[in-house]
This record gives sequence, C-alpha cells and structure tokens, in this order.
Amino acid sequence: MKLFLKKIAVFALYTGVFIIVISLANGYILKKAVKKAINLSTTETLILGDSHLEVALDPNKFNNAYNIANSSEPYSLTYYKLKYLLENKNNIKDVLLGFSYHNFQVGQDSITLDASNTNYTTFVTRYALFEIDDTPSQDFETSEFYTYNFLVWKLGFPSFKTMKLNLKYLRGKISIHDLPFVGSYKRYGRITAKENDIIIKNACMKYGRQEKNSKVQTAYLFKIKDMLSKRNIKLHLIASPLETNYKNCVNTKMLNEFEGLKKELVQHQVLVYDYTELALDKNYYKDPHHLSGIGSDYFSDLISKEIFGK
Amino acid sequence: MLFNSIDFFIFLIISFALYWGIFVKKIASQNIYLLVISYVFYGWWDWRFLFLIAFSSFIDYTSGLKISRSTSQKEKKRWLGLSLLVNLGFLGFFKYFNFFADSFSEAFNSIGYQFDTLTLDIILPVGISFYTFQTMSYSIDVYRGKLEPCKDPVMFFAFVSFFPQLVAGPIERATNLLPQFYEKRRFDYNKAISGLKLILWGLFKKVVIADYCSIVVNSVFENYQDVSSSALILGAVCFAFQIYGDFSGYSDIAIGTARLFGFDLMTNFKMPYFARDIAEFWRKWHISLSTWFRDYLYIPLGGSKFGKWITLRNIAAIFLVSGFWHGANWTFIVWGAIHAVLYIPLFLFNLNRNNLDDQTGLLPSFKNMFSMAYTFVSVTIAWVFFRAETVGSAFEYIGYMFTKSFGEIGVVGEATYNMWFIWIGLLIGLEWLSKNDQNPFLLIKKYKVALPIRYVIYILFIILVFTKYMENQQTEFIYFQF
Repeated sequence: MKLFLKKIAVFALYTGVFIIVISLANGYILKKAVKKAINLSTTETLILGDSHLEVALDPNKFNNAYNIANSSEPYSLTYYKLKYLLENKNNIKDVLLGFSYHNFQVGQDSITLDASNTNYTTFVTRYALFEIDDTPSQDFETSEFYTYNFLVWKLGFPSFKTMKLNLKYLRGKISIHDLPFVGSYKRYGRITAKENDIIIKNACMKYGRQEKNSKVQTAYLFKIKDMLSKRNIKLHLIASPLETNYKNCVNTKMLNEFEGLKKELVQHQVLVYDYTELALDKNYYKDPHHLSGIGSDYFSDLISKEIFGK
Repeated sequence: MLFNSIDFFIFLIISFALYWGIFVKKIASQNIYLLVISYVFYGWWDWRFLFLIAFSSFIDYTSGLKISRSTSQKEKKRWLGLSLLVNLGFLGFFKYFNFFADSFSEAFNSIGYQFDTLTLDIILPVGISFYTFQTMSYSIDVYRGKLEPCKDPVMFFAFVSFFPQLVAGPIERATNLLPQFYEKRRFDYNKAISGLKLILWGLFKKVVIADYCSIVVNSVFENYQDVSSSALILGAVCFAFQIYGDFSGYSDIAIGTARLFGFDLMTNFKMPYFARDIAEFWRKWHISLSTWFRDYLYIPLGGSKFGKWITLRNIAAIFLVSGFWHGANWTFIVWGAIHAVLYIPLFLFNLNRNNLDDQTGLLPSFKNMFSMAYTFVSVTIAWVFFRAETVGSAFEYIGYMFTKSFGEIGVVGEATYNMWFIWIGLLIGLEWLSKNDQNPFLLIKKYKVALPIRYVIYILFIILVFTKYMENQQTEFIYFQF
C-alpha cells in the first residue's frame, strides 16, 4: 500500500507540474496571439457585440476596423474583452457595440458564469481574455465569482485545441479567424423558409415570457460606457434590423423596458442607432433577426455613412 | 452516480481510502462497508430503487438457502420458481409492461377492434436487467448443485449490489464473484495499478470516443431524411464505435474499479470489431451476457444435442431473447433476429468455430482483413436497428444509405465530422496493437518505455479525457437504459 501511495503521489506531482507549466505557457501565448491578430496600433474602430453585429457589419467597409463580435456574447464578456484590449497600447477612437433586447435576456447571465451551461468550444475559450485578478461586477454572487475563476483556470488547462492554436501562433500564422473566442465577421446566405418559421416560433415562446431586462447585463453595459468615456473613446450602440413578424413576438413589457433603457443611455450622451424598424427585402436577412451577406453590405454602408460620413 | 462524473471520482477516492485504511482488518467489516457504499452508489440515482434491490436480494438469499435445504426435488423447484418469478416479474413489470400493453392494443386496433390498454408511468430502475440476471444465475447454480448457498446475508447482499458492476455489468456469475466475498481482500499493488490503467482506458473510450461519436450520431439519426448517403454511412459507423466505446468503456472502468477493491471481474469485451465472422463477434462482444444466455437458456433448451432443427430453434431463441433483453422495442428484436440470420448459415455449414485462434502479426492477412470488414459492415447495419426509433425508420435509414447522393458529408447541426477519423483511428490502431493484451497501456510495459515518457503518455490521456469531458459534460452510458 505504501508503494502504491508513493507512486500515486509522485505521479500526481509530476502531473501537477506538467499541467501548471503548460497552462501558464498556454494562457500567455493565447493572449499574445490575440494582440498579434488584432493590430491595435493601427486599429481605430472596434465592432463588438453578439451574433447580430457579427454578421451585420463588414469591417472592410470602415477605416482600420476590426469586427470582433461573437455569437451569444453577453455584455459581461464583452466588457472583459474590451478591457483587455484597451489595457494595451492602442489607437482606438470608436467602438460600435450591438444593442438589442437580445442582449438583456436573463439567460445571458448563466452563459457568462454557470459552468454547467458552458461548452468549451463555444463559450469557455472566450475567457482567454480575462485576468485572474479581475473582480466581476457586484451584481454577481460570491459563489459565481468562484465559478468564474474556475473558468479562467479551465482555459489555461492545456487542451489539445489550445495547444494547436499556440503552435500556429509560434509559426507566426495566427489571424483573427483562428481565435474563435475573440470573434470575427461572418457572412451567410438566406436560410430555408422552414428554418425561418422555426426560429420565429421559438422566439415567440422565449420572448413572450421575459418581462424584465437582466440586471447583470445592464450593469455591464454601463461599465463598458464608463470605461470608454474615461479613455475618450466614442461608444455607438447599434441595433440591427429585424423582420416584423419576429419583432412582434416580443412582449410589450420587455419592449418598454428596452425603450426605457435606450432613453436612459441617450441621457448619458451615448449614441444610439436603432434600425430595428428598417424595412428590408427578405434576401437581406439570413434569418428573422440576422442579416445575410447582402444585408450586411447594405447595412455596413449605411452605418459607415451615418457615423463617419463616408 | 455516473462513472464519468466528478461525484464518482470523489466517491471512489473516499471509499478506496476508507476501505484499505479502516475496514481492512476483518472480512466482515470489509463486506459491510462494501454493502454500504454500494447502496450509497445505487441510491444516488433514486433511493427508492434500494427497496427493489434489497427485496430481490432477500428473495434470492432465502431461495438459495431453501433450495439447498430442501429434500425433495419438487420443493427445490418451487423455491427456484419463486426466485425466477420475482426477478423476471420485476423485469417484466418495470421494463416490459408498457411494451406489451402497447403491442397488445396495436394488434387489436390493426384488425379493427378499438382496444385501449392501460399504460403506466413507470421509471425503469437503473441496472435492473443486470442484477436480476446475476441473482438468477445464483439461484440456478445453487439449484444445479454447482454452488453452495451463501449463508451470510451481508456477503450475499454485497455480492448482488457490488457497485462497480451493479448497473451495467459485467453480469458476473455467482460461481466467480461470490467466493471472492468469502475471503479477506489484501491490497495488491499490481492489481491496483492495473485497475487504474483500465479505468483511464475506459474513460478514454467513453469520454473521447463514445461521447464524440454521439454528436455525429445524434445529428445524423435525427436528420436522416435530409442528409447524404455518405453522412448516413458515417452516422452508422460512428454509432458502432459509440456503443462500443460506451459499453466496453463502462466495463473497463467497472473491472478497474473492482480491482482497486481487490476483486477480479470477468472480461466483457475482447476487441470485437476485429472479429472475422459473426460467431467470433459474439465470443468477443458482451461476453458476460452471451455466455449467460448460453449457460442458462441455450443449454437448458437442449443446446445442440437434439438435432439440427432443435438447435436452430435454440440459436434463434437466444438471439431474439438477447435482442429483447436490450430493450422493450421491436427494433431490438429485429436487431437480434438479424444476428440470428447472420449466425445460422455459419452453424449450418459448420463454420461457427472456424476462428478460434488469436490473430497475430503487425498487420492482418488479406483474407482476415476482408473477413473483418465483412463482419464489421454486417454488425454496423444491424446497429442501425439498435439505434433507430422504429423498425420502419431503420429500414428507411438503411435504404437511404445506398440510394442518396454520395456527395459531401456536410455539417448537420452542431456536429463536425472532420475529427471523427482521428479518434476512431486512434482507437482502432491502439486496440490492434494490443489485440492480445487487456488494454493498450500494457504495451508501455511490454516495450519497457522509460518512466518519464510513460508518465507523459498517461498525462496526455488524462488531459484528453478531461478536456473532452469539459467539452461534452457528463453523458449517461447507453447500457443504463437496458
């Protein structure tokens, strides 16, 4: 038994050291990779948000811009992502941030913090940009804080996915598209009518119920606003177009909450561009609430003209 | 409590430490402790199941004693009958009641009579098919005089509920497992280390192979009418590896865990996808079940002693019953029937004992390669029935496999296909290299790999299992439903 325990202890020690060394190297290289993929010294405009801006704004239509919006990304994650990027030397002047009632779903909170609701590939890797000593907003419970730190640690764990990414970085071939946890611009065609109907049906079930905005996401939006204003960076909140039958699913209370928040932000001198009512042809939509490639060309031109006059 | 869960990991460490640290001195305390932790393990699912297993154990314990003490054959038979009645009664009620009720009403409705039967909202107790078979083997062996009845109730209850193999086998024979409870277990370093390696290999098969394949399988089977033939073939192949990784992975973890507590369980899988015919496949797949049916159904029915036709009937019976054992659905019965159809020609032409030898050499011969491929394809097509919701959809699936376009595999839902060949290829490669050993980690010892490299290999496997576990979260073992 003594020999067994001794062997197990030696093996555990060996494993621990191996994992710690690789985790530290992993986390370090991942962050370096992000800096390398986004050239912060020449970037002037950052596009952030969830899937809506991920497909709506083509960064090539703006001067020196990067679209790093990411599917299902809540503001609580966007905040840390932005914080990390702005801590580095940069030349950013404008931030275009997605803004719609989707961002205030209560479900977004668990995406951020609940480990059981996260999936390594789609969500957890985004924690690459979190600092271990970052303290989340006071709106989070203490237990959630530990979950959050656990997730940070989890990213550092030497998974084969991150090892592969690191090798790519070391070979000097990293681009924004290799970093799914950062996000990048995507183009899509129109989905089938059947798929479209399913999305509307599901949305009606989902948005028909929620009546209150998520406090956590609201708090993080204000944290983003404050962080940017301290650095003299302009924040532009952008709501991309929605199909009418989809928008009709949202209950009045939720819409009123959203409208109230919009007014409050405007009072705080935040620039809000609400294009949810913009009438567009069906082909401009990938699905009822995301623009297609053609739609994004049109919308990017529109926003570029509206904000930058070109 | 799932083997691939953090709960089980903690449970295993604590129970192992207390077993060898505190309860090591007396055989009685070892058995009481095993009984308690086994009931904790089983009750973790649903504490109400404990009454069922305790009652089943009580009936079999009493029957065993009564059988051995009975002086007349009639009385022995009566007690054996009670044991079988209770075990099969539980199984019939919890597992098959709704199936029979539905089939009955469907049959009447199809000939024009409206017949509404009662269906009950019954929860299937986890592992009921496994422990009822194990206890039945005890009663039958006592009745046959092959085994002395167990006089110590704690030992017997611990034997029935022994947690490593309680919910998904291997279905242990009382003649093998019960005597191990009679002797005090002493810590065996080599056994414990081999147990840990087997647990790691089992986790790899479950978490990396089976859970990965399940993503592909679920998306293909759920959208089988809309995907290409290539995707359907891939879905069927992935299911073959999913069920193998899932079930043999469970068996490996069970055997490995039992070794940590000083027990030896029977081998349940011997790399069945390298089988050269269907007879060899059944000598390598779920061995504890196939030998159970051989010993307690095929041979009592007459085996091969009473001529060709009786033998054919007996073969058909064990395959159909084996199919039905897996689940209360016609798909499982058809699955069993397909295996019977594949096996019977071998029997008729006296080819069923052709491939008794082990394969050697770095690569298989062309003849063996062809035979293995043929067997694998046959088994994989049969698996479609095992996985499909209905017999009709299974036939439709198989039809589409050959009639749709063979273009791109494409992406269905969240499944990505590009990695499937790496994991499955790794499994096949490692299993082939270790085809005559119990698990591929033994190769490390065989080739005397240096300690630091050996550790790196184990650590890489641990990382792989851990990160895949994080990606997929814990998923149930398929065989829990049986």
